[in-house]
Amino acid sequence: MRKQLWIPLVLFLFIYSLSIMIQEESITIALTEKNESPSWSHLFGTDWLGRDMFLRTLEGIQLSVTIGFVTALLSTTLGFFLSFIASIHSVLDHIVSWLIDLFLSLPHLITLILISFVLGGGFRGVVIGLMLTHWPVITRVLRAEWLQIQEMPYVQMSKQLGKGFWWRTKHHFLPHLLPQMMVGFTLIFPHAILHEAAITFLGFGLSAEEPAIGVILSESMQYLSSGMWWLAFFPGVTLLVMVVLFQWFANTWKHYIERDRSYETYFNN
Amino acid sequence: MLTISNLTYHIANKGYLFQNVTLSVQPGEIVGLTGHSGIGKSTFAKVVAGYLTPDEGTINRVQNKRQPHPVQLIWQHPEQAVNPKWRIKKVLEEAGPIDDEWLERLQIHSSWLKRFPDQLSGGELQRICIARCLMTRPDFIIADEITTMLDPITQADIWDVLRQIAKTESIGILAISHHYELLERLTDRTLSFETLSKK
Ligand SMILES: Nc1ncnc2c1ncn2[C@@H]1O[C@H](COP(=O)(O)OP(=O)(O)O)[C@@H](O)[C@H]1O
Ligand SMILES: [Mg+2]
Repeated sequence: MRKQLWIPLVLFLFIYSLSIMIQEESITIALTEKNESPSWSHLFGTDWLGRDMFLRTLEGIQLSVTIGFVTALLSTTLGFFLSFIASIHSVLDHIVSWLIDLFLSLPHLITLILISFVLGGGFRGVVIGLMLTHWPVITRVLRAEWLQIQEMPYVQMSKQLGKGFWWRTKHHFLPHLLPQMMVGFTLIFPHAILHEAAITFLGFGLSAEEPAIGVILSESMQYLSSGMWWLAFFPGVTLLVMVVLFQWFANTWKHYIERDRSYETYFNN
Repeated sequence: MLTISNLTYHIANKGYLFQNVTLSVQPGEIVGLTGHSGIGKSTFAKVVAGYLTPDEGTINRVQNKRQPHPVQLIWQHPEQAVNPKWRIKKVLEEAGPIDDEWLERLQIHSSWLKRFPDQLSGGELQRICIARCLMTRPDFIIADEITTMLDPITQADIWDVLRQIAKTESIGILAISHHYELLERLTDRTLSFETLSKK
């Protein structure tokens, strides 16, 4: 159990810290070394400008992880506030529930593309788009948790013992919600990374100057036919490895903190 | 004195659970309330202790903001009445600084304080709940089937202490149970909920 938890996490963090150490300046154009297939001096080969694909991939991974992290954090925060609002009054609850159902009924990727497009793409557009498409899942779970905790006899008792709302929030509600928020965070994270890569690849996400995996993949399209398979293969696989590592960690973690599995229907599809 | 007058409560789609219940309890008095299961005794207890709002009727003791309710309810299932993730020390401190006098009188061992609720027996945990209740210095206590789940010896122990406390501290107790004989033995007078809530 413990191993299942730290092995993927350590590997993930190792690759991520490696990517942080890459300076953008170290990715230089070297026309004498262009279009080289993978070798010991260029593990992932080089592109049509002679840039080292290993470095470019790591640079892209760093951006992906950052976006995943920021998005997961924002979605979780938004989910927390909306579920809190829903817990205040049944009218607010109806509004929040309606919004959840509305957003869940929209096709994820299309909504994401639309929002990102309207906001002009880029880092900001992608992050806001991802946040706005990923909050409903976590809000729904947290809302159910709020309802459940407020029904607990010991919470009602707390009020009769003279404790105010904020005291109960701090001592009863938050400790109850926190594990569920952490699970939600870890589940949104890999989702966001893949969605970012997808819309960037389609041209609605990050701009072409960004060192994103989606940009690398879409650029490599025109070179694939001339046999330069490494341009797409290694970046794609590395991104998948990162996502799988994180999901491995997240699944173990979910069981580890023994929360119920109410997220499963949304994420294990 | 705790005066409950003309208390009426209904459940959505189910009609009235009880109507016009009038009842009073003197300080230091132990009043029994009996009736078959499902008749509405627990709901009545929650209304009187301020957990639920009645449709009609009045109760002369209400909670002041940020103050403990002067009428404290002790639940039938102690394991639901404490946060399962808290140590007993924190459970007790929710009612204020721990008062060793009550721990002693309820025979609560100080080593229990660092345990979690599931590491105590039902009877031990119920004594924790009683101590927590007493630490708020209530004027009245509603004891809703508080010993129904316990063995006869533990049951007798708990009621011995509670009866003593009622007399020395002048706390009025409304003891609810479906077990008429038990109430007859323990209380000063016993009322039938069915008679009180004639519809
Ligand atoms: N919130 C509720 N919704 C629907 N029915 C309820 C609710 N609370 C209590 N009841 C019903 O009211 C009746 C009385 O319950 P209760 O007060 O627990 O009775 P007692 O304590 O006398 O056994 C039961 O039939 C119960 O199912
Ligand atoms: Mg009952």
